[in-house]
Amino acid sequence: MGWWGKILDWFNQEPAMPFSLDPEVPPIKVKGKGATGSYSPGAQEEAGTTGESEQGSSKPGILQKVGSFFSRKGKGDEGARGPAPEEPSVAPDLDKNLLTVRRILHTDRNSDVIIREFLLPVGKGIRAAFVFIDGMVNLRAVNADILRPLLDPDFAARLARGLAAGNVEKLFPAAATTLHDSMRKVVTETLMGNLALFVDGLGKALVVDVKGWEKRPISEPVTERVVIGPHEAFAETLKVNITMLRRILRTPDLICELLEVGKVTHTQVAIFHIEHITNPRLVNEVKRRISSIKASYVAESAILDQLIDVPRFWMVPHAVLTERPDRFAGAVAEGYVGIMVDHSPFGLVVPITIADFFSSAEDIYLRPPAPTFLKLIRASGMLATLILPGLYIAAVTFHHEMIPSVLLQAIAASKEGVPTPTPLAVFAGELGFDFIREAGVRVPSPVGPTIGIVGALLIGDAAVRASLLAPVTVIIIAVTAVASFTIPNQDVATLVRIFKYVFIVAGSTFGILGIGLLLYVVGVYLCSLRSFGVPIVAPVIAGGPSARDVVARRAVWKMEHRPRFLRPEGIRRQPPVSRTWTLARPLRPCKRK
Amino acid sequence: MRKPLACTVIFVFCTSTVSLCGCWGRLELQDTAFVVLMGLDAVQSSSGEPLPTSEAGLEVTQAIAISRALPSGRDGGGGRGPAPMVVLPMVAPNLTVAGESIEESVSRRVRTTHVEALIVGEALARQGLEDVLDQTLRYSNLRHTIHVIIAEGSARELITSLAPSIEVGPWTEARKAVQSIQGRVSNQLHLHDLLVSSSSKSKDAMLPMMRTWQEIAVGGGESAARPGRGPAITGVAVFKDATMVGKLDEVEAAHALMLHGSFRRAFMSYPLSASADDGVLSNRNLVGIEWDSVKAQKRVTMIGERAAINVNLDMEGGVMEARGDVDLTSPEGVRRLERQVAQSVRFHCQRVVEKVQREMAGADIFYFGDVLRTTFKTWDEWEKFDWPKRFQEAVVTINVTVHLRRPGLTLQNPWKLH
Amino acid sequence: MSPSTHNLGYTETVALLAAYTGSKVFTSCPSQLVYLSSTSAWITAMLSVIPAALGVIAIYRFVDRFDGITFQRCVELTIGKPLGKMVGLGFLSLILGMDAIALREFSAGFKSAILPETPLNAIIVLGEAVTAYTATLGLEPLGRFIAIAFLPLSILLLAIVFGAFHMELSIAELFPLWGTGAEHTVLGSVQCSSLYADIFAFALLVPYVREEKAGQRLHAGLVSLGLSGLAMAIAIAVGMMSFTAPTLAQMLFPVLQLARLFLSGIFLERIEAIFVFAWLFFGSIKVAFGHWLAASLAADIIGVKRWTAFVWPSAVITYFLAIQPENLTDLFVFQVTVLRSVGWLVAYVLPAVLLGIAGLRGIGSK
Repeated sequence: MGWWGKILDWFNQEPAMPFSLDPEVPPIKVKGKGATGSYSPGAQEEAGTTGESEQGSSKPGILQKVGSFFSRKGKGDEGARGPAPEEPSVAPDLDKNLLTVRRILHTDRNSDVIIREFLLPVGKGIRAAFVFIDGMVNLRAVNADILRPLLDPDFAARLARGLAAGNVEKLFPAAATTLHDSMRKVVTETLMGNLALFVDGLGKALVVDVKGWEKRPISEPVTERVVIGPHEAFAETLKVNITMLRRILRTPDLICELLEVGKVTHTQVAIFHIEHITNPRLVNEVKRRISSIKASYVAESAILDQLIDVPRFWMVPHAVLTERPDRFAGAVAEGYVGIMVDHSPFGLVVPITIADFFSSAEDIYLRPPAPTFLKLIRASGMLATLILPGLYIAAVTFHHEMIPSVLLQAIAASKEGVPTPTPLAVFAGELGFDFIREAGVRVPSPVGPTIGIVGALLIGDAAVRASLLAPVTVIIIAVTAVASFTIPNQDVATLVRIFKYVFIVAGSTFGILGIGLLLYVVGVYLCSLRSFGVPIVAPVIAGGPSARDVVARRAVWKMEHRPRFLRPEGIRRQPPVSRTWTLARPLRPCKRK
Repeated sequence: MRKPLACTVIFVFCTSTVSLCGCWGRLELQDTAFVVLMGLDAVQSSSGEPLPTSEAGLEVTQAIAISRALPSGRDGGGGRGPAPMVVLPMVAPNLTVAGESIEESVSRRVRTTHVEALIVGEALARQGLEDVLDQTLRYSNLRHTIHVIIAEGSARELITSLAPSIEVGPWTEARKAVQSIQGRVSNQLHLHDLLVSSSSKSKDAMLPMMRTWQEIAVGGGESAARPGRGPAITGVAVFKDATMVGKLDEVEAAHALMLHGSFRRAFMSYPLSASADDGVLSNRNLVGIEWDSVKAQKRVTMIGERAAINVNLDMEGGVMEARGDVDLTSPEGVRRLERQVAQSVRFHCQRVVEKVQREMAGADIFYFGDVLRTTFKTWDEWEKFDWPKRFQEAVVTINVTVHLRRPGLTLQNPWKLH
Repeated sequence: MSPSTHNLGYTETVALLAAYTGSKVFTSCPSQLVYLSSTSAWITAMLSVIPAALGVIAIYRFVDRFDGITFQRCVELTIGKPLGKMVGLGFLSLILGMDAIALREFSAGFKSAILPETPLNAIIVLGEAVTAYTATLGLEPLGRFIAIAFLPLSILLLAIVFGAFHMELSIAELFPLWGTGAEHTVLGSVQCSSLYADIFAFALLVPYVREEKAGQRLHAGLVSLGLSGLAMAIAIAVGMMSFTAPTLAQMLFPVLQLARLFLSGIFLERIEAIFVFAWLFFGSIKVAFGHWLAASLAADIIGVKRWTAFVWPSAVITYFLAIQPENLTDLFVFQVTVLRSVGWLVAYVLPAVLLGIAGLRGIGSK
């Protein structure tokens, strides 16, 4: 195929379908050619590297080629070691096994790998050894529940019988024991804090759960503090987090599926959903994306978040990041899919919608209309952060005619004698504020607030006194700064702070036209985003009562539907009359006879 | 990767165009001077005769706000220091040239976007404003919502007298001076009204007239030491299309507004006839009335070629002052007073209509034409009908009903009780 | 290109079409109507909806005969490929031309209203770049954006016009009711239905409307037409009431002039900044949707699937068309004379003829 053919091919490629939660898109009859273009998930997987490439945005062929090019190149450095040509399996010979383990775990250099060889006191003695990583296991449990019984002749005798009968895993007084014959699996389990027991002649390894490392206890949430509601946050340990969820959602339908991600980290990822509520297409898509990740380092939810988004999402968060079990559980109960990553105190909730940019954990605990009001405040805070500096520049440098005369009188007077051009002044002011903010985060906490006060008060006041900034400019910067703190979602807040500068540039070049056009582009761009098949503007545009709840929350007993844009299997959250006591006959005072 | 690429292309394009071409039209407030009041006069010959604008050009007076003297938060209140306006008169062939050449005498760019009032000298107004105002309508800088005031005498003199004395800022001062007129002598204050009235055949404009007068020193301190000259409303200028054709004094203007139907609250005094029906008015009996509501019902019918206009005025008010033989203690007395006042109002109204019909080329400031044109079917018929001409011959009948709802806080003057 | 996305809901369709057709109120179109039919212009604006609605029904019947394929394929199946492609080119040039006119008028409006010192070329290029970029994002985002923005913006505009208008609205200025005569008004409304020729976009949009909403497709087309008719009538009526018909007929941006009249109290004045945003959003959506229409039609005519490849070329063509008129008077007169007399023939009569041919030849499933 020549270059002309390639061009023709490019022109003739059908733009890929976006992933959709809709149950099915009916096939389209195309007359004449007889071709049918119907959608199926399988076809999509073939088509591209991303499941969600939108109309016209994907070039599967090219992308595939580029992808395969990189994967070829990356083979050398993708993991700790290249995949062995054959998966080593557990041999009957103990020495051989230990040699393999030593080789894989680099025991000549890894000093925390403990290999303890001993003799089972049966007959002449059977050679055995266990392997664990120091510090990751509960040593007391190892000594009391494993080593001591093994060295006890009675237990050893039973074990020998068990070895012969093939039910050795049932003999140990530990909660979870499994038999593995893949050496790689055994080593991975060891690295997770389990103990691997090799017995000469068994041909399998027994993995006993004796995990016990130092961990942070459950503490109060740091980023999502609330006044009303529970005060516990996720911890770093996946098991603890799963427990916390199970304690809230005590339904047998809560499914927690574990996947493993990361060539180096082998991180466990738990995917939560509720059977018969969550759309299975959504669950499958989440699983598909996570299981197909080929990255080497995935140790945190935030990293996973970036790995499961689509190209068009490169700036906007793709999942809600929360450290509150109640919020996480609430979302899962609504039909969202929750993702927990081991060693991360943050859970991911997908898909994200624009309402999540403005919602905080507390919203559900407040009585309406407070949540709606607060969301409005946050939304206007976001808008103010985004466009206020730009709008101010546009108004005072381009469109004097748009400022009311009496206001102009005040602004003009305050800007008198200030030599700094307004765009520069605003830009510098905003930059200065971002300095202060970043400095406040970096410096030790006792000094932090001081930095803020010194920076904001002293520098601002001094700049006004030195006629470097007009008081109005300082007000604008201060309002923007305060407004930027109203955005609950950290990712969005950062994004808005960055885009604020783009609006400043637009406002100082094309005035209000620039700002309007940029706002239009941002609007259409946001409308083009789909998070796991759900347009992120869905709550605003989708019809039905459920969508309204996301934007303007009603009383809890009035919210009868789950968000329809998730296409949940069970749309109804509660019966039309959830407070059945209202149906009962009202109590009347007894009539005295 | 196409989207980032596209964004980068757009970004590079925007920044490069801007950096290559500069930011068009960007103007800092510090480099701008705002015209607050703009005065237009006809140039006078050596003998004091106004010359036509097409030959001699215009005398343009611009009052520019001085930003550094404006009240700001920094010093806390203004009022001290130099006067916050500087008045710059000049003669120019037209407004555009005036706008250009004023920048030669001012160090800043001069903007007319915040002109509060356009003050036109009477002589110029009588020459016609069509051509003079073309720029104000064509160029987006001058808004249609600016006030238009006709100066009795020269606009330049009036502008000088409008320098702020009570209010701290020039805009607030000019605005409040103008807004006090609204609904009392004229309801048409804006350039837009002039535009509408001059382009519509069924109505004409009456714009407020002001002149300068000696200001009474109010309060103590510096301002008391130097009594200045202040503005005063003298009445309205009646326009036919865009040319001034005559003027009405304050009382006449108020009654014209009543007939028009847009009269709002005002305090007015009426001399009464000695007896109920003898028709001779005298100042010995006088009643001051604050009108609360004046409703005008207009009906226009054609009797042959002549238009018969019938106006019913339904007026409500309270007595604020009663002098002479005025009896408010009995219902009969009130009825009598109501009849007397109605007669007086009708007399005034009749006089205004006749004056306009006779002396002012039938300028329809009462909007009778608006009532009539609803009966026409097509534009051509209406054009041919030529209302302005017919209005001059129209017969106007006015019926007035007066309701005096409140006698004030007392029924009778206490000093007169004995 | 086969329409593979059926994600345009009812609201999006209505909003998109209404914005595309109705955003003409921001240009000189209201003035043109007053210029043509004097004080009865607002009646004409409403009456013109009727012939346009017949056109919409014809368009819908024609496209509906063929289930779910694009308009261009329908045309080609009806009258054969070579002729069909020529007709398609005709439609393409109509779309490009109207897009260019909109771009030019909106840009010129911005220049004279808010950025008098910025070169017109810069504004056109900027608008072109922005709209073409958003057009490449696809039909769905455009529809979603305008569906969200449509209602608040419309309410805002109505509030500016009616709720908070300080200037006197003189009802007498609407009279004489039949400005150029009742007969002329009614007959002229057929020609003036060219005003809504943009509703032709409906033909290209039909296959993209979601299947479950299929029954509501025609409804969406008619409702959006009605909305734009209503917007036009309100704009003209309010314009006449505050400016008088003779003045309005000469105005290039009557709605902007209306917004500049806003004056309420001592502080709430000069709020055209808010209005400018509404103007910008509607204008941008109009031009961007025009790009999308042109690109998808071009892809159909050539017979390739990747329509995004044609967005930027169509933007470039539109740009060169937009800078063609030497001044706004030329554009004004061109619209009043040429477009008014030709627009309705191309937009309504041609689809009706196609429908007739398809019916006679028995092509199509229904």
